[in-house]
Amino acid sequence: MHRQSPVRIWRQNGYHFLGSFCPNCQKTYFPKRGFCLKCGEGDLEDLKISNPGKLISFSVIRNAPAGFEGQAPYIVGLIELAKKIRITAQIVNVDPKKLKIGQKLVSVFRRISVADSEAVIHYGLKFEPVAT
Amino acid sequence: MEIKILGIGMTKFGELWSKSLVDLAEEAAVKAIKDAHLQLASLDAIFVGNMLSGAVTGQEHLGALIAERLNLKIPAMRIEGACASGAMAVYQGIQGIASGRFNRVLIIGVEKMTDLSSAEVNKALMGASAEDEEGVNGLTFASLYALMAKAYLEKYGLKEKDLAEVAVKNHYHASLNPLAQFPFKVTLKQVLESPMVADPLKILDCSPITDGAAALVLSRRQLTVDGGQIPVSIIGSSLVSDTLSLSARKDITEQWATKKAIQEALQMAGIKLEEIDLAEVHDCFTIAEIISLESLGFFKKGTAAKATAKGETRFDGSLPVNTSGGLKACGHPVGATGVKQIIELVLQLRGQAGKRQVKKAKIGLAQNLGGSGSTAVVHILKGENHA
Amino acid sequence: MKPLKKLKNVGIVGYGGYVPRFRIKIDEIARAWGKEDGEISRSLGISQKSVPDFDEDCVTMAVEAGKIALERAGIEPEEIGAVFVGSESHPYAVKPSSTIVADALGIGNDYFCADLEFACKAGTAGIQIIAGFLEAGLIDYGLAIGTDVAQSKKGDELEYTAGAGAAAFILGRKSREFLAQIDYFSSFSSNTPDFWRRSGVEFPSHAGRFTGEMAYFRHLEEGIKAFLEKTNQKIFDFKEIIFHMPNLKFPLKLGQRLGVKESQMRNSLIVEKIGNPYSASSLLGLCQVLDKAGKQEKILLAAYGSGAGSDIFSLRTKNLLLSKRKKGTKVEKFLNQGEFLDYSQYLRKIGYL
Repeated sequence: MHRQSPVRIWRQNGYHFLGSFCPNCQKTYFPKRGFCLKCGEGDLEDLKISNPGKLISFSVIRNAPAGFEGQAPYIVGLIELAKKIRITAQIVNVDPKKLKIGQKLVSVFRRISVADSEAVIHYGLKFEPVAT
Repeated sequence: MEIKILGIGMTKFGELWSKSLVDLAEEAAVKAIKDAHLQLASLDAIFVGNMLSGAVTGQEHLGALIAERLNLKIPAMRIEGACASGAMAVYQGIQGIASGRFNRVLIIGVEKMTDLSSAEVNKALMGASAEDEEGVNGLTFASLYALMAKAYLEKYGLKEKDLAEVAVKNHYHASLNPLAQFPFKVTLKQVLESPMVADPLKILDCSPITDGAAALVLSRRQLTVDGGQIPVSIIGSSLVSDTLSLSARKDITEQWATKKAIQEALQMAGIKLEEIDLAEVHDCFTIAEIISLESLGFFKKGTAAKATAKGETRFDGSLPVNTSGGLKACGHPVGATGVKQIIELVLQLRGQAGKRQVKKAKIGLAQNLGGSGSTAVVHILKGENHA
Repeated sequence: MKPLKKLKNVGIVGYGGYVPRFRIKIDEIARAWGKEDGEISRSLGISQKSVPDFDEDCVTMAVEAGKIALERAGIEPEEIGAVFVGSESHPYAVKPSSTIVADALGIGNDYFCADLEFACKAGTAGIQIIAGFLEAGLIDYGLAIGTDVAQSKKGDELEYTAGAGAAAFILGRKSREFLAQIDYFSSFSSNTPDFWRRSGVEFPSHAGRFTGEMAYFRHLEEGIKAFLEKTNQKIFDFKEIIFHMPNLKFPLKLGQRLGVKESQMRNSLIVEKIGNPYSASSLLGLCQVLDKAGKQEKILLAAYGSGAGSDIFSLRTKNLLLSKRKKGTKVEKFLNQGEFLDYSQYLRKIGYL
């Protein structure tokens, strides 16, 4: 129910990895936040965290949760981007047997989920191995 | 700090189709009060540990729901910390007594999970994770722990069968526990051949979906009941928060919140780790027991699996772990687990654990985790006197 | 005959193509439908087509193509002042794909925008609209994309060629940034019901053999002949020629009729590897031509859209093309990858199982 909320889909966005940057004390945060933990400043700037990333761990999901049935098996992973910022995301375009911890990955724009034929489509970022 | 456990009660854990959430809570509560040789009227407050009631049945406001069923008009509230809700409710109950406000409180951990399909429950359970980042991308709890498992196995050069030993041991314990969901043994082969859920974790590496309730009656030290059970004391109680999301965790092959919680609990109890005779530890997945044991300090990093295979954590080993059967084989009604862990320790410390009795059990430890390690709650219990 | 104005301020400053990595052999589809081995592939002249992953659609492919175009253009996405995505498989009937693509590419809020549909020429229509904005000096850069997950009824003859892909073009008006300059464009339009899809209906319908002479061939032949006359050019002036490719036979036959040599068309024939990605067909052909062309070469691009119309462009490559195109992935890289599926796996990818 909550995953279908068009407002939530819009607010979450997720088309970019957006962090916050404090112009006052130069600290970077991810994900976005309202106030700097170091100096208390509230005027934080948006900062896009860049790709590519490094694969920290991954797993192939065979038992999918509701909303993702029919997609299994799919790969999920923990990926480390610039500035040691980590995120969890799906990994596509690769045979899991060929995936190795430490591998370089880059983000791709894909459908994340669609609740039903009337719902707003949730798009976002997944990852694929960097072309060698 | 000394809090006494006057009474314990729990339902069988399993697929209890004909029992609703409040039926389960009622059964555990009444059993606990009887075990304490008290009346419901002697209670001052109710603390309910539960995670999924809203997601599964649409019912919130569980304090009032259960107070109504027990016909009590006393302070009643629900406490939620994902899979640590049960131990968190104990933690809050202790605060209520230690503050001087309450004398005797009832703790009920309860969960009703089987009303929904497993795909729906898996989705609801992601409420224990960083939903916006992990749930939204189609992760499940099995996959979160699988990410830890894969990194752990690679780091220490271990294999899937090293994890499987945990399931074999816990099923063996459950075969000696009549209230367990799966009171039967499994072999290593069966675990390794069970269908893959999120690699490297297979079905028999994962705790099941379970209905159940577990309750405790806690009291201030001076107010134990004459003619009642041998009281067991809670001598340490700690709760530590780590990051919610796995991606913000410093090291995914350890449980930092657990590491900090055990230090605080030991300090509060005034004892050393070596004095602990047995432990109930959070094995939501086999990897979780391994990592938890290491983070608690019982084993050096990378060695808990081999110790398990050697039998060191069997009920007759040097450090019995999860004699109840653990979450894997006793079952994991999410909000009830933390309370059940304490009940198992009480039975052991009273000498009432039957075929799975640990000899000379004096001090026990319970570790309950919320989410992928975001909340850790540790309790240390001490038995009064028993042979 | 209305004379054609020569454009002064319109050029391609960035381009990018994207094709999903799955493929299915035409013979495998034919086998599922009980046809003789080789029967269909021989008559269409192609052996395979591209298949999107289940989590891809015309929007996701458009974003991937747009990323490559931005890499080549080397501009900040916020500098783009207009976005037009053309497709016949927009995922929403109401709610533009273009704003989703613009958001994903970081284009900000300061842009003109609408979705386009004109069967397989929706992408080139976008180029024409943006060319108008640029020529008038209303924007500095514009993004036009042709993208489709081509749809067809299962077992219908269209299924053999209905592929998937996207091609994105960033156009600008500063000649020192041009990779190729657009000199002229024209269109030939009519109300011809050769291929259509009613609202709310899942698959397109077509009028069989009528889609040949009276549709594809008429609009392209007449359109190109008029274009060449109005612009005082000859077919042999063009080093590279790209026609819309519903299969391999049609563009080759058209070329023959217009006196085109096979060497002029060789670089454009992406249909051989991926089938027909509808709005991205001629534009992916143009991407591949730009990947391979030399400097100061003339290019003729002619797209056809059912319903019906043709869009014709003449372009000239500039020296900058040879260095700037290295900044993005070549179409060939996408064409040469290919994980082959059987018919049941293909049905699962496109949402049937």
